[in-house]
Amino acid sequence: MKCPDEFVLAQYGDGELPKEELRILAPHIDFCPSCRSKVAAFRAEARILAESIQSVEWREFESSCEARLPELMRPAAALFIVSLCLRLGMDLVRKFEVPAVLEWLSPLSLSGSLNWIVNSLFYVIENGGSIVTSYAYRAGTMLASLFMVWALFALGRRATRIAASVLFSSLLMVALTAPVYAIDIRKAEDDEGITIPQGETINDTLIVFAESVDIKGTVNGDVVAFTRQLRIEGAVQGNVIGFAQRIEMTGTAQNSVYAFGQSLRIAGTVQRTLWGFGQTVTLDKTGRTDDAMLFGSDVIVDGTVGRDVAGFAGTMEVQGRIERDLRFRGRKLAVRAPAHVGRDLSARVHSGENLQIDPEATIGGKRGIEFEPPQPSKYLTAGFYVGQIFRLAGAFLTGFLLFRLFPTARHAPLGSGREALLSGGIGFLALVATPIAAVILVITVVGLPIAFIAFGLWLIALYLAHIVVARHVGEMIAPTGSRTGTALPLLIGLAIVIVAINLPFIGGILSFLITLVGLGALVRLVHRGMFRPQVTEA
Amino acid sequence: MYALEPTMQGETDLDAIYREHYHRVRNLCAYLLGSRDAAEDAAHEVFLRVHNKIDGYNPELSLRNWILKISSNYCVDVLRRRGVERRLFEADDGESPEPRASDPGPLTGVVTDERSRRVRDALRRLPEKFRIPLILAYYSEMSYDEIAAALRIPRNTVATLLFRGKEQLRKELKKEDL
Repeated sequence: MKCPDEFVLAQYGDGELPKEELRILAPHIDFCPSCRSKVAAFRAEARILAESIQSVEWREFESSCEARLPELMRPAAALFIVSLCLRLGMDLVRKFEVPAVLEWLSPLSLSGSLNWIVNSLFYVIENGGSIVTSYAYRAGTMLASLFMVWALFALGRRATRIAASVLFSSLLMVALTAPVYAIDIRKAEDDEGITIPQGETINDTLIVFAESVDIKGTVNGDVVAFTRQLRIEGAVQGNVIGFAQRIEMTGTAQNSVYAFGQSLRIAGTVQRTLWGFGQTVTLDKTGRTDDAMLFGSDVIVDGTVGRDVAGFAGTMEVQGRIERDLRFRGRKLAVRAPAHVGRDLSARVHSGENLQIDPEATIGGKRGIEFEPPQPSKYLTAGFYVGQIFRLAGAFLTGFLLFRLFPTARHAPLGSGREALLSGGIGFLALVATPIAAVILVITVVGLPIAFIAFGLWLIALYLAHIVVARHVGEMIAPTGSRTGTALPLLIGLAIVIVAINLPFIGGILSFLITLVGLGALVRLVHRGMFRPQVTEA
Repeated sequence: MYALEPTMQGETDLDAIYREHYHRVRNLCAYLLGSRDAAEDAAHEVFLRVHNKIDGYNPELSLRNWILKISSNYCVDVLRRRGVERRLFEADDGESPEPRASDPGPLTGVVTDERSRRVRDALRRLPEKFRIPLILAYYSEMSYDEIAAALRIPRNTVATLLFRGKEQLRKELKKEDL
């Protein structure tokens, strides 16, 4: 008789061979020395396995996933503390200023943070451009389909009433959206620019993704552009929403302009409100708008504003004509001749020398000037610490509730470096794509409520992102146990995260990274089914 | 082994059972669920079940095995709810594996602390589909039939997964030795 193979012998060794086979094979196995020795070896192995597996000790288990970072945590914590002490020490000795050359690096200064935002935005547009744009391109449809898929799943899970209503409303939405979808979406291949030549008229809302966008013709709807360089020489009957490194507008917009970019120059006409967010924001001599809300490191108002100007800026220079009020808050304001402010000027600047009002300049109303000396260091004010304690308490309460309601959220996929990196990547997409998708949905009008919901969820997720990461950090230091409970790791983690994101220089970057990783982890948790009902024993 | 009179001394008995078996149950849950916090939650649930089912316990069987079986079933339920089980066991057809000549032989030798720790480390590195049956077989000491019932897979698949799992374990340990 041929010897049975090892698979059979292993079962025999476990005493688990089915009766029939046992009856046939047992006589052979008991007799054959080779089989007998193999069976003996399997039995010995089983003993070793059982002994080894059973002699496990509690501390061998990972607290969460495969956190192996505690070794890294100690030097990192030391680094935090050292830099915190360094900063505090420097402040105590003398008023510490960031060297002018490094100003752009410091996330604490206005131009620094703007730089970070603009540069990281353009990093995405440049490098992850294809992903992001195609994402945005499909986001509207995708979101609707996602809702439907989710609803189908929920149906399967017997949450019938909610699911049915969501399904119904999504169907309704999709059905309604189709005819309203008067959108012209253009996407340039490779590095090409898109030009709407003079004389061409587009009767839709225009959404463009391209290296450069030139609009010389007429657009009868809104213009939404994601590009490196946006030039509008023609006429836009609706709003202009532009995300671009450089935005130049010499044409007209019948509605408002929302411009986000590194440098913005408006030399044309904006019939309603000009919202400018940029490092340098310029309303040129020939520029006209009804209202202006300008945020930037350097803001220049040389043109004409039909009503009010509100400026939040590092420095703002006004030489133009403002028919009503000028409000300013920032470091430095200069009002030079032939500037004209029809009514009041209210300014809040750092000090007297930072406010220059030319005697030749005319100001029709009152002048309300407040001085707000730059806080020597936020770290030296008691309010800062009180604020942070409130922040900690709020986050703790939220986190406690979150982990109570959704215990699965404790197992955020952050364990290994790779997991954290993956979460970071997904977080980055979620961070960038959600608002873009929301903007696109807003344009479809029917998608408005969904856009608001998406945006709201996005904001909530941003807040929760820190909490999820904090708990993970806390878990590495004080793992949940019978003694520590579940609250302590959360509290420790939050304390560390709040200290970390308040660190000078690196705090802003850390906060950004934590947001990315936490957001990605949340997305993955939701994907995994974090919101499934908890396991309960009947 | 235990005189279980729920009417008379039920509470004290449960206390004693809890004290004696808590660590064992918690460790099993940690093995199966992969993390400490999940294990602690699960252990708590397991003792609730033990409390509810104690009337149905047959004193002729080992209490230890009975409790471990409850724990195993509970953890498998949790895994099933996590959606792990479907992914893991669906693909297996339960066919007998081909023994390969290059496979290292069964583990032999003396069990030292160091060695058993290495076995456990290797076990943790195994894919879930091998790890879970191995833990059920060698920690909970469940039979093939019991494992098959818990995981809702054919008995033959259990045999295959255990066999292949041990094979993988040997390979992992061999890799370390090199």
